Amino acid sequence: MKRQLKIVAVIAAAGLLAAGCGDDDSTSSGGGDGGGGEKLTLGAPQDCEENAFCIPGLKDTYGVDFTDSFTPLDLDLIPTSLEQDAIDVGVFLSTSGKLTDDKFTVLEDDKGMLAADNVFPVASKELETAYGDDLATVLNDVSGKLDTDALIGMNKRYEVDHDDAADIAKDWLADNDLAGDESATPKDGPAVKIGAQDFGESAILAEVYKQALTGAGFNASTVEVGGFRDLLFAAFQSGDVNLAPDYVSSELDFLEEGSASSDVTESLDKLKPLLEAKNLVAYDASDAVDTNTFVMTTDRADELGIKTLSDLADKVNG
Amino acid sequence: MGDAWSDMWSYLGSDAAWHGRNGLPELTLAQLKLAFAALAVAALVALPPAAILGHLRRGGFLAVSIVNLGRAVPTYGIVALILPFSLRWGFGLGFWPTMVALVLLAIPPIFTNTYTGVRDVPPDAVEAAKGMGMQAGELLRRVEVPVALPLILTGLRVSAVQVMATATLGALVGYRCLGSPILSGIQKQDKGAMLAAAILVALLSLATDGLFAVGQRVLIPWRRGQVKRSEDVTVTPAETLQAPAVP
Repeated sequence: MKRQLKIVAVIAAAGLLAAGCGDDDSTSSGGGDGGGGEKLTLGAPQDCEENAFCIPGLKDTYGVDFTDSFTPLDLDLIPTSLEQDAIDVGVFLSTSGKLTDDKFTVLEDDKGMLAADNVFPVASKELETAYGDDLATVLNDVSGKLDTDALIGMNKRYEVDHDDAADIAKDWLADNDLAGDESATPKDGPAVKIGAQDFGESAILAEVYKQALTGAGFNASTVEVGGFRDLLFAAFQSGDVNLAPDYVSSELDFLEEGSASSDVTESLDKLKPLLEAKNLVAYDASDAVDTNTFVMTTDRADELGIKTLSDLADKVNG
Repeated sequence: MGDAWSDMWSYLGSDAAWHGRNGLPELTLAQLKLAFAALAVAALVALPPAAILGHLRRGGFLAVSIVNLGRAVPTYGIVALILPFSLRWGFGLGFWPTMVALVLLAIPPIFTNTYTGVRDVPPDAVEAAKGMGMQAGELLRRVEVPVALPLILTGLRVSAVQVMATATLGALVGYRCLGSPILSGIQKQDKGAMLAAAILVALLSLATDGLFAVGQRVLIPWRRGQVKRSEDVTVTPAETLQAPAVP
């Protein structure tokens, strides 16, 4: 039967052809290229190309253009790619548990380009009216103690040690004298339903605020919204949720595209009227910032003498 | 959802959708290239041993079990497992790690169907061929594979459709394909490009299926008209999975 042989031959030829042409997208690690700067590659999630706090931001603020040396990568695969030198610079979330590891160095954002994605609680008007200062005190006390390093530590326990979000929250609250009293007098009023988005840090933060509130006598529980910000806002509208931790810049950008900036006070001022229109209230923003941040392996950063994003730009531009 | 549809139409009307490395034509081409390469490699790897084991009528149960292990691991998991090795051995990001994962996805249906098809060739046909003096190689080539061809092609068809749809995963490891607008759409909550790419992937998968349907009609002309259309695709992976358990 010639026919079978023909099929096999066609498949083989096609396979070789496709495999041969398929190589053009693989990237190689940068080395010096004779003229001018160092050729460094950037690995980041796909949206980096259009994200004002990623490639366009680096271009505007630092004058360095990674458009042609960008490899789109899943956030989870970036640490491995960095360690194996497949990319030179990678985008991490600034609260990633991986940052507890010394082999990674965060490049300092010395010109203040990165988004002010500070953690802050949003509540419904109804909840604010019902509890007033009682609620504000608890929420603002927690936010006052929360910072980026605290989140890195909590995320590390969640991502690496696989601890339970409730235990992580409990320990952090105890360490910061925010746990309150389990036998606190129960408060009269609506139940507090805290929305958690579908990622670890949101679950941890929801637990942190829930346990702090419970310790102050509130009837509080967490609700998984089963998705991201769009579902969280839908849950606020339907009343399934009346309090949630969120991030200032991202929420502002969600409600009014392109408004986010690196200034948290300014962003919060812009955000408040937008929330007001949705019958929501913003509480104090914490110092914990979870945004795109640029990371190199410590070895590579030392070798090239790069500590800040300005250093990086100088290196690339030569 | 109405929102997403209008987003999609405005995306399709934009220049970005049609030009440059993030344009749909370029991404579609990349998707086809990846899927095609993976299917071809999987066919080369799976067909010969499956046919030979089917001819020998032994060892198949073990082989099918091993091959099917691949089905238990999600393809993204395989990509993530392969990535460090791909980087260490210099294959880099993008094309190669994704292709290897897709090959592992494509092998089980091809292998199982080929093995089962060749093994289940009616014994009288095999006996008759032996009576005519055919040696093993000739018997396999001229009797067993042609008789098993409908099943073999069905295996290739199932794999091709799966691979075409799953090649989107390449976007997670630096291979620009139709998965890229889907991912950035999720990240930016921009449903227009996401929906357009998702629909395109679905259409490509259906087109792949259609192409094989046509191919089967051309390559198996003796089956045309004799059987109902539905019988062409009756061997689902689940059925063939159990088949080797009956020796």
